[in-house]
Amino acid sequence: MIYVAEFGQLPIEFCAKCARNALRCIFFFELSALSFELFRFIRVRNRRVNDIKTKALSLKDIKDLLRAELIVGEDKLDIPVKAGTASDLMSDMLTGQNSNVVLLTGLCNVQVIRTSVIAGVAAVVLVRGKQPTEEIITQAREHGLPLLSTSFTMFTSCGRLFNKGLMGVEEKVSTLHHSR
Amino acid sequence: MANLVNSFSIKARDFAKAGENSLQIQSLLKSIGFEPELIRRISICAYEAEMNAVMHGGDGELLVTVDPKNIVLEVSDDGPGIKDVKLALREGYSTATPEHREMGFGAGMGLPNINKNADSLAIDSSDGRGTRLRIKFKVGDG
Repeated sequence: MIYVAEFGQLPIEFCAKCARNALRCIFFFELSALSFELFRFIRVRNRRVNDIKTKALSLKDIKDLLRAELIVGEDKLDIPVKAGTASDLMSDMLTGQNSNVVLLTGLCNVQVIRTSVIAGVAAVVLVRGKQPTEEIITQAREHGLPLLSTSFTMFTSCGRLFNKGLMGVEEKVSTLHHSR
Repeated sequence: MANLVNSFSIKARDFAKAGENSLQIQSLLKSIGFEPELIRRISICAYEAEMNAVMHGGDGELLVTVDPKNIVLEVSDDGPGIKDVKLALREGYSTATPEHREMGFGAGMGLPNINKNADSLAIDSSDGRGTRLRIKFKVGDG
């Protein structure tokens, strides 16, 4: 009986060790496979982000995406818009690099037009269905600044454009800080 | 090239016209054919200074001098002046009224932004004596 037990114990113990080792092997193998997948995912994702970055929308794309009414700028529907920004604070529009971007704003006064012309903005979109006064329209027309109005809120408008690859202005702002 | 001097008048609290002078300066510089980045910096400074004078200052004048090496903006007003110039140059410091904020201004970025965009800025002001800004830009490398 003792021998049997002794004989019996050895292989069992060996097998348990073996199983533990095998489990360890499988665990490390899975871990490395998982990290490989993770790296691949990050790489693919980065590539996708880079693809999006280079994408500029035309003013017509923006008008369609926001189902917007074009008030001024029939002749400028094909202009490229590099990036987007959203603000009700005109002071913010004067800091940083905002040339050739589309401005989404809830502010509806003549200073929006003047500030946008000074900052070199490509087009202005009034959100929440705001309708400009005659004076605002005249100013926009005078300076050749496209003016649109969308029923979407600020958040939804930004999301719809971002989703189609229109980026913010951050990168340009940081390069500006470095160079100056 | 002879010096080109243009003068524009600023009227205090005239929000309907505020900024018009700077837009004229911008198109003047465009017609001369300066670099877009230089025009952008000058226009922003002119606009910030003009809005400051309209909002906080008094009646005044915006003078642009263009010579082959420099472009100088001189903005003066006979308003109440700046009590503490050092404080006014700090980002975010503002004495704006709710009316200014409704128009989208008054974030306390006016003078700091001029300082950032100009090649040199001199402020001559004290309590009750009006304000005079001299904003200078270099043309090209000169």
